Amino acid sequence: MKNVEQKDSNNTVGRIIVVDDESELMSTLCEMLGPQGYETAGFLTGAEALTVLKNQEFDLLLTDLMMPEMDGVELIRASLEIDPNLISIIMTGQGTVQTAVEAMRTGAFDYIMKPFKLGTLLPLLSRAMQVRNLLSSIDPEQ
Amino acid sequence: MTEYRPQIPDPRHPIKILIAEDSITQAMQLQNILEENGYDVTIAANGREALQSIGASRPAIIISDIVMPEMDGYELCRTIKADEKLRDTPVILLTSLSDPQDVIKALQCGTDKFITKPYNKIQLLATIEHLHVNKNLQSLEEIQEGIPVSYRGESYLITSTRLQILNLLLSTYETAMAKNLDLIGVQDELKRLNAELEERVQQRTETLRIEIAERKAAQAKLLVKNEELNVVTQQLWQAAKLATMGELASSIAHELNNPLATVSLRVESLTAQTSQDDPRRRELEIIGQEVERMGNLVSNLLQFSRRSQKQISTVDICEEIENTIELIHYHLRKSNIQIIREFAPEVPLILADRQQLRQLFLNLFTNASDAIAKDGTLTISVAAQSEEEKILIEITDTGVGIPPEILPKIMEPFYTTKPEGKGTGLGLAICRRIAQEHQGTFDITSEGIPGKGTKVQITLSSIEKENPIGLKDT
Repeated sequence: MKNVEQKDSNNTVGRIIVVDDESELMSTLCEMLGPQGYETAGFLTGAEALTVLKNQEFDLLLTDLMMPEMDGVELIRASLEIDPNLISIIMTGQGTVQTAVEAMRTGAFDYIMKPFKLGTLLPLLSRAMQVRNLLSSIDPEQ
Repeated sequence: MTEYRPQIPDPRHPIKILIAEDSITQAMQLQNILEENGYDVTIAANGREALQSIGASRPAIIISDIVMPEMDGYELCRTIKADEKLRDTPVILLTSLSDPQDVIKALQCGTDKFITKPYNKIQLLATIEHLHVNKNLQSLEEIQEGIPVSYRGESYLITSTRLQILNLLLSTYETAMAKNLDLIGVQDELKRLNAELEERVQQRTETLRIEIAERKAAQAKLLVKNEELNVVTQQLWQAAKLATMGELASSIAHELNNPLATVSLRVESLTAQTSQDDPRRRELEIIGQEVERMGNLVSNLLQFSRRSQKQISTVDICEEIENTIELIHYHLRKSNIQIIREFAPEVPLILADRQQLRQLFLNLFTNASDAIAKDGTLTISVAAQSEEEKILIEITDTGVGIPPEILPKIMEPFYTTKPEGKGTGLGLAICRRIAQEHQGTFDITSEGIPGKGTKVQITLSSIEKENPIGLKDT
């Protein structure tokens, strides 16, 4: 298994679970988000990600839209059942806004179109973290 | 011609006529004509039979054929005229008068009158009547001495009376006149036929001329149709090409975007780790730029292949143009390009894909700006074509223009005149498709003269709603 985990124990901005069937992109994201203060765990399939989600707590889910077996939309729906406050961001290589908008209707917080730069992704992640923190503060259970 | 009215002879004392004719049909035909006119007719098959019957029947007039077996017409006549008791009986010979010798022979034998074959019924009856009436005159004259006549080296002695000769010559003249009249008649008929023929030829010529003209017109039409067919075939080819391109584009886009994302992120990371004065930084930046370009190309391809996913809403074209200008306003100002807006008042709203229109205008404004490069004007006019419920948009620049030789190619996918790295060659193909999807047209005209620029004419109207998830117009 090629799952990746990056931890920065002291200065964690947030915990992100990254899911993409493209292993190079998944590992790149994990490696690059680590230095930005994010604790990351990367998976190649939605099923693996869901198993981990049941035992571990994450703030954000960054997932590809088009994947074999379980696609991004399904994964978001299933993960929201485990953690209703999980904030999801969809990555799409389709190049069309339409597919991303469809995904957002099923519960994604935002979307980003591949290829993208870290400079584009980071503001998106920090906005997502704000919402996550807000939800956690309202809901003391989390 | 005055009609001859025969004097009907007294039926109680019919005038007797003897016919000498070896052909029974001809004899009977003659008999019929004469009997119809009140004559008493006897028929003899030849000269000899005629002579035999003369004594008994005492005919007033004898009509004889010339060529007959046993005794011919001349012989019969000569015999009659030699007989003192019979000589006063007028003899009419039926002849074709084909030879002057016939006339001399007839005179020699003392014939009173000629009737030419085929005979004219009226002429025949007139001759008979004339002979009958003048019969007494003839009998008054004494027989003269013979007149010697030489014809073609032969000598003839004519013993006829002056009246006989005169009658014969008159009948010859009459025949000639009749022949002449016939000839004139025939000539007239010929003229008439000729004129008719000419008229027919003219009519036919005219018909042919019309037919040829029609055929030529049809041929011309055919040529035009052929040309149209060629154009349509070309368009079909173009459409097929675009469809294939679209499928290809969407299938590779997803595959390409993933590695591009990885490369883009890795390069970004490396660049960040390299200090400003490191010479490798420049190389990494170039890689980054090129990766970005690849991303744009893929994105363009995807836009191009995207057909069914439309977001339809009510769009104000002028407002959309303004929004697009805003996007590239900075760039236009930097190149000192003036924008002239000629927006007609009250341009109707249309149902359109805002995203597509934005792309259409952006492509065209960018093209215009590239063509101008620096210092020029971009004129954008919008007007409503009320009768067709279409909106006409004209975008005119003062740029370098498009040379006529490449004008037909510019809408082909991947055809670009921009420097390497500046264009994907898909812009105009996308523009045309967008216009077509809005039930419109897309035309580019240019004289190819620098400064005179290029004019793009677009018509747009409400898009046909085929996407049920399209936004509702309110």
